Amino acid sequence: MKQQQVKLISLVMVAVFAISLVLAACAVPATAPSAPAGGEAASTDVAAPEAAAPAADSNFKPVWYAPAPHPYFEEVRKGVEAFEAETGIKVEKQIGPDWNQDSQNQRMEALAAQGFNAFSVYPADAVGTNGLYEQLTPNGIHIINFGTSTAQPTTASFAVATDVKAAAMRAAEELIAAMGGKGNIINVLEVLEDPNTALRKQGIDEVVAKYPDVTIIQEVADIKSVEEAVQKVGDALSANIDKVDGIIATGYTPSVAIAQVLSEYKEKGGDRTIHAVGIDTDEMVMQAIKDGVMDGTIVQNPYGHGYLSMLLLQYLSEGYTPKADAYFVDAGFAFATQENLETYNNDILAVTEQIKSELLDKYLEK
Amino acid sequence: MLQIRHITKSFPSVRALDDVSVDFAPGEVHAIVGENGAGKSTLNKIICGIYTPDAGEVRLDGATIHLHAYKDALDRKINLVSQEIQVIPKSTVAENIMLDKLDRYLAGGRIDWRRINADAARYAEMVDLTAPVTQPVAVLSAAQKQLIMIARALSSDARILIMDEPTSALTRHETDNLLQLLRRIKGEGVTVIFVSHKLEEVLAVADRVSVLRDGSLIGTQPIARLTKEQIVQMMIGRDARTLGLGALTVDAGPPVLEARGISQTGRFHNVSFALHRGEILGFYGLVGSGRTELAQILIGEDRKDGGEVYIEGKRANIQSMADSLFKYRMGYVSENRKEKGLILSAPIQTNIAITVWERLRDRFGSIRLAAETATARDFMQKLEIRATDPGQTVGSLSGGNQQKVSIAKWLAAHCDILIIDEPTIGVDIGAKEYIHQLIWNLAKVEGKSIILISSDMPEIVNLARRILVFKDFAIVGEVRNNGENGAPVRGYDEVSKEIGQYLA
Amino acid sequence: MTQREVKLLARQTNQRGGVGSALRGILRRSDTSVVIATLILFILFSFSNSSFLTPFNLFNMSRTASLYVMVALGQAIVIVIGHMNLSLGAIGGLTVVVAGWCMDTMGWSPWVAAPLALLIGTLCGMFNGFIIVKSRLNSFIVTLASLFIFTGLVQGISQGFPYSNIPKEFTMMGRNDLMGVPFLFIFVVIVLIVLGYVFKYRIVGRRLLATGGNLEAARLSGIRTDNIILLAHTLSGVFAATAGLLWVSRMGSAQPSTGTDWLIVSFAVAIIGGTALNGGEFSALGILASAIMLTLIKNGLIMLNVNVYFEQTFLGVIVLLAVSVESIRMALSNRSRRSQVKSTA
Repeated sequence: MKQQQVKLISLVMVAVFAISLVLAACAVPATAPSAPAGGEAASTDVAAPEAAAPAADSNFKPVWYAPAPHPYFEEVRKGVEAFEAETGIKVEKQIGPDWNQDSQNQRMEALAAQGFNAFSVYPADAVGTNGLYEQLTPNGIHIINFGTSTAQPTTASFAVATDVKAAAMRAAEELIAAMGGKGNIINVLEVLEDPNTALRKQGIDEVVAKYPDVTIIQEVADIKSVEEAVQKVGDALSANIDKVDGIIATGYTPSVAIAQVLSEYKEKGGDRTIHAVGIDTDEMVMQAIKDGVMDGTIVQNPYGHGYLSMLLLQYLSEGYTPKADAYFVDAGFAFATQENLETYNNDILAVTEQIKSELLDKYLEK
Repeated sequence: MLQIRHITKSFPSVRALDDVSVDFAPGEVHAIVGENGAGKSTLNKIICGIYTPDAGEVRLDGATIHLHAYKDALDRKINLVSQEIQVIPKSTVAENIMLDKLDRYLAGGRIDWRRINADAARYAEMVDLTAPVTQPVAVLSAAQKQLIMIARALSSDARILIMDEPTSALTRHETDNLLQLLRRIKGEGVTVIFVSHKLEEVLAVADRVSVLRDGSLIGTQPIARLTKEQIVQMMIGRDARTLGLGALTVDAGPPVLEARGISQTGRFHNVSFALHRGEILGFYGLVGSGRTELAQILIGEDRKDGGEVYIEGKRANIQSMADSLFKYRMGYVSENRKEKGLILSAPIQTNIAITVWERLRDRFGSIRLAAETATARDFMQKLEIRATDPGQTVGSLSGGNQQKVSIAKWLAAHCDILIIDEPTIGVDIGAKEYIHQLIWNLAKVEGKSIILISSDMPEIVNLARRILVFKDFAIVGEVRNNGENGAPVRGYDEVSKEIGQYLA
Repeated sequence: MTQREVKLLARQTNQRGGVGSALRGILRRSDTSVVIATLILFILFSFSNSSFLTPFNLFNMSRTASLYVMVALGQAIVIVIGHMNLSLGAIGGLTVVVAGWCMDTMGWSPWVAAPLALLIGTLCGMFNGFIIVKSRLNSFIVTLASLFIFTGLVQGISQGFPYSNIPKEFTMMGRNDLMGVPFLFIFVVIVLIVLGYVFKYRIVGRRLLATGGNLEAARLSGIRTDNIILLAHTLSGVFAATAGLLWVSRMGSAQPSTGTDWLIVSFAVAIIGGTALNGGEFSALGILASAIMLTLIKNGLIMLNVNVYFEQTFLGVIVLLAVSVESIRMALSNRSRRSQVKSTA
């Protein structure tokens, strides 16, 4: 009897392995088309020997690392790929399995062991990632945060990211302008554990304080998923449906939620005019702007996060050092509305070009 | 002098004690006996302050005392050796014995282990505990753990020592030693309250005995005035029946169930037997001798590597209990009713009807609840299951009633063949007799074919006229006691002796 | 007759009929407390905020509660047999991604996409059940492993991108209503009624409960418990997949992150709703009430405009107050039984 059970278990195991093999095989064609650079970029496995070929850059072996699959990282990757195309330098691009500091540590340590010496990283944990950096940087490895910064002090050389407070203030200004300078606002914040959330709240509060006729009647926060966001935005709207004039979101999930809830509200014949401003360019948000349900959205510069961080790494490898006090590189943002839906992408590219041209003067010295 | 006066205590579904008054004199061993659920444990717990009575009072040396927790009792030197073994496995024997008085051994903030070990060794010796006091308790036997609990109570200089089934885990030698010890400490003026199922021990050690039945005190008598039969009679409220249920006619035709050459690698080798209609076939042997294991193979819960089972002359293919029940109408009453026989959290009706839900459906396939309740009520009446209604959970029933429920589901399923494994373990005297009568009637009146598995010698000799003796996964002997018309031809002593010879 | 028999008879006759016994019957049910707590909360919030009873709010709340119910059912069905399903959210997420992929990337009709997605979810549940039955491993370990497997598939297929090209007709279920009552809510109420019926009147439901009550005893009573375990996990997959599809229908887009926060909700709603953590009990009414309760509390906290940074603390305190109704019920139930015993003595 026992023997039979053992046989069965091993059969199941074999089946599981077989399935995972098939899945792994399927996964390759799934990623290939999303990498427009074609055959050259797809063969990341043999990156190291290939990268060794251009002798001039043999001491510059860069890595771009994102902790988990996310649409934002796909946008950033485009910037990295543009950098590759321009310079001919091969970048090892890795996306981890989850938002876990531990996974990030293991993978990055492995990459460092393989001889990679320049990292552009989205930190999984603002504090925890510093520990990893402190291990890597003494070995002459340069690290740049993209997308968000690690907590200060840090051994990362730069952070290339959106100035979240400035973005929040711009969003608030745009919303208040759309409301005609008066009315009641619901402020939807996102993850409370993120210290940036407090900065965004500060920015919005500061702007609102300038307008005596504008009040924040409700704050909603502690949102970790779109599901939670939809529920909370819905709750906040219905709690204030007789007095709300505007709603603002400074995080991705609540922006999607606002697009969903307001579209449905309008669809069902809701008659109150509610102005709305969000962040990022999720398709639902862009659709809502097109339909006139939302007024606009803050467009961050993920392309720039990727491109500029790689460029900075290259400069660092060439012997440049960060100027004193230079750390935060504001990658800028744009504001998309119904009017500039077709052109905002150019705006944001122009921002990148602008920053690129100032990079050496403003942030680096030799 | 401890006196309890007019004690009454109720629990949500039962009145556990009803106006009970008893005097316990210094220097006496006072036995308390009664069936399961008679109120013995409740009485103990009231004396120890674990329960507070609803009415009545506890007096110590003439003054009423109010106990709110076991600690209050300990302060008055009333100690309990409980039925459940309560030791800390990782700690040493000495630590466990001195557990409640470690604070007396503090020397400058540290515990003086040398002194503890020395003192503990004294008490260990008193109870005849041979294990070294520095050994961790985890490695000891159940009996040795029980002795530790007794030593712990002794080391507290108890005035009143309550022992709830203290010998249940002890060997014969250890029991004798304990009884000797009790005689000695009563000589020192200690009151020993001795609760036991084993009437032989009560007769051997007690000075007086109080009998409880259904929460009421039936009487307190000096032991010298009572015989064992009289005590049993007081406990169950009527005369105990003597052994011997008479003749059991067995169908002479082909066997209902026949096992031919059953083998299982490493265990059974070529085991064969036959069961006839209307027969009670005994499987006797010690636990682990292969009786239950063979039954598991028969009902398809364990695989056989060779041999065949024939039912009604046809080769049977049984892969699971479901096959056994639905294809061959063969039922199995588990020896472990709480863990394997019953769903304790479910009502009686679920536990009885679980085998027959198919039959209770209406034409849309829904189970008719009324029919389910009726089926349950029917068997509750037939088997005298004592419960308020079929919706009562089985877990709240006494052991005997639970056993009846676990038999009832197979009767409801119209099983022709029943394998009944240790039917009277943990069942009190009255219910045990009833279950014996029930099994007898199933075979004699209803013509069911029964395999009775038991390690209770009187039980198996009394009920079975043919007994297969198991040892080391083999049938080592067959003992017959069926004369003309299936009547027993030999007495209990002779049959049990023959069984014993096979086992030797 | 013995004394005990007389008492029993007296108790039995006393049991029949009367308002007292009806009340006792209600008190004995474990789902009573959550229903009462929910009613109390509803009344409190109705008085504390004028926006609470608006059709818009009630509509939204009933939809949220409906999704909670669906998610909780996915967990409750395995809790019933004494198991758990940690991969519940991942199955939901996978269903969402498959549905999104079919409708957006492939452009297939919802009539193809939804059944296919449902089938995938069902297979995931079946996979869990099969491994558990065949390997005899604990459901915790197996579903923990499959949680990773399914999550990986979600990320691999979607690369984190939401699918937003969902046909309008697919959002009918999630957005439309029948005389003000959302279809979603009507749907879950029907599902709950069916489940309530199955657990009380159908053999398969009874066998699920029996298996959860005592696996060994159920098997030794002729129940093919391996099949029951397989069934429970398969149904868990079905419910998770259904919850995922309903969520896509409500959102009008397929978010790959769907399901990541289902685990706690599923346990909270199922357990507060009277599903015994060690198996063998199920209450359709309890699950509905506890889903509504959780929705009410979250909605109420926003209505009351509490400080966002302390919101979770308030949430915890209110949940604690609400579930303490259960301890009051138990105390009352015990007292009523005790007085019953006394009156018959």
